[in-house]
Amino acid sequence: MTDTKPVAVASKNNTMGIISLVAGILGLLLFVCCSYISIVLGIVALVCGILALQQQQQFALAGIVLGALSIVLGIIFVILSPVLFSEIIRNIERQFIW
Amino acid sequence: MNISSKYSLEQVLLIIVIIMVIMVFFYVITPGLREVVRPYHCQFYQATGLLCPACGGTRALLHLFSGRFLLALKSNALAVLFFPVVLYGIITVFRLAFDRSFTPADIKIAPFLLWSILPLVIIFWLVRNLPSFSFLSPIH
Repeated sequence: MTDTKPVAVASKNNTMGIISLVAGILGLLLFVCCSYISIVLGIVALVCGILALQQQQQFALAGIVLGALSIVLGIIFVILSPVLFSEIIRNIERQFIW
Repeated sequence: MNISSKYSLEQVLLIIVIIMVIMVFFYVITPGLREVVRPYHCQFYQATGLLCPACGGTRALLHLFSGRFLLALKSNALAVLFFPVVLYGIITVFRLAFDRSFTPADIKIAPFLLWSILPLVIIFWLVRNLPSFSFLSPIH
């Protein structure tokens, strides 16, 4: 019978995965109000997610999916916001005519 | 981390001088910039009348760069709080790009710090719209 010794398992470093997931969630939260920040956060989530996936860290796939979603929604909102908020923008322009 | 072992006194002084020059530059040009940056141009604010977490962020950074820390905190406390985080992120990206011995596996941040960002942003978003916390709003 072979002698089995307990192996000390070091706690895994999940930093990139958590950064990816947090950036992805924040990107999805903020796309309505700060679309540009949402796109940046989405890119951060996507890049960190891919790096985390390479290192087999937790939350990597979730981060990639949320990052991609926040990029797409951010871009859609940046494109559509002039249409959606045309009246608001007209009001702003009226306010700032000097 | 022992900074003195990694950087010489001249390097540290040079960084301090560069930061001070940037602050003076922004202190001089900020009044002009404030007129350029249109206040309350946030679409979320215009549509709902509520402040988003980024409202006042540009003003906060302008005040921060020009050394007006209290005004920066008043404009957007979250932007001031996250400024070092963003700076750390930029430095890390540059280190990953140029320092071959530094890999993504070397980036280690306490998980609770990362997870705490989410509730912090949400609580700040909610709280700054409450009348009793108007000191967190750049408007009142």
